[in-house]
Parts: sequence; structure tokens; C-alpha cells
Amino acid sequence: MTRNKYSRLLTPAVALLAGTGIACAVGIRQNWSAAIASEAIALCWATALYFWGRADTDTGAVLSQQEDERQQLVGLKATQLALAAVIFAIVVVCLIAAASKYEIWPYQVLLVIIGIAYFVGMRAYGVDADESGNGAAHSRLGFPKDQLPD
Amino acid sequence: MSQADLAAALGVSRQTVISIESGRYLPSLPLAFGIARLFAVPVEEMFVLEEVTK
Repeated sequence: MTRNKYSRLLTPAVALLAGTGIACAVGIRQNWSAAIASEAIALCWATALYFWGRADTDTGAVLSQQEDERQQLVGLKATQLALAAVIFAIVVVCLIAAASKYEIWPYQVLLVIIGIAYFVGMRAYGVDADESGNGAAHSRLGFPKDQLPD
Repeated sequence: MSQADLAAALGVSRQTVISIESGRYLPSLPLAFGIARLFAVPVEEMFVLEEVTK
């Protein structure tokens, strides 16, 4: 369950890195006061994620990368819900952009990336990943060969 | 043995022990065998499979 003492820093660090990237882009293309505001929001969000990660809850365990098997399942279900919400939001925004005669290709690119990631995930984690039929060899349980039915 | 002690012995969270006790979560086979081994009883004494309706 416990990976290492730095694992709880991973999620806040990724959030801060992404937020800093967005803030830099805002600063370069717009103005630096907006960039500072954007960076402040990213910093607050990363701090909140860090303190959420320290809590003795399912959310805390998932955010701090110290989840057990049930919490992994909870995290996967939450991710599934979040992804469904993102896809719905992209489709709605795409419809609004199309109706307003704005460019819609960025939203289409996002949907294509999500679709490709889905099939890559199915390929990587599905049964197809081990076509040799030796899945039991990877099991932590394993059964002695002499106890297997013919 | 407290829930926290059991969770530490099994390497899972206290919330997971609570979920298993209340029947809201079915543990994986390795975890089920770990629980049975900890209490020194066969796994079928720890867990009873109820009829599942599909």
C-alpha cells in the first residue's frame, strides 16, 4: 500500500507543473498579470491536492498514490465518471462552437485522443495483451500443475 | 484486534477492512487468503458465497 514517502507529492507536482505550463502560455500570449493569477490558482490547487492526499480517506489514498485494491477500484470508477463528464463537456462545447461558427478541430482532436487512448488501454490491459494463454503464470496465487484438471 | 491493526497486518486501508466487514466490498483472492491465514481458518469459513442473481 505504501510506496514511498515522496509518492504523495506526485499528484500535486503534476498539477503544479501543468498549471505552470498554462500560466506560461497565458503570459507569453496574453499578459503576465493573468499569468500570475493563473499560477496562483495552480498553486492553490496543488496545495489542496497535497492536503487532500494526507487525509486518512479513500480520496487521500488515491491522491497520494498509496491506495489498496479497493481504493484502486474506487479511483478507477471516479476516473471513469470524470472521463464521461469530460467527453460530455467536449461534445457540448463542440456543438456550441460549431453553432457559433468557431473552429471545432481542437475539440475533435481531444475526442480522437480519448478514443485512441481507450483502444490502446484495451490492447495493453485486455486479454489480448497475453495471447500465449499463460496468464496464470503472472498470477500471484498460481496453482501447482499437478492440481490442475486435465 | 482493532480494524486498524487488521488493516496494517493485511497491508490495506482501515476503510477497506470496514467495507469488507460490512459486505460492501468483496476482497480479491490474495486478500481473502491473507485474511484466512491471519485468523488461521480455511478461506471458506471466512467467506460465504451467497446466491448471485444475474
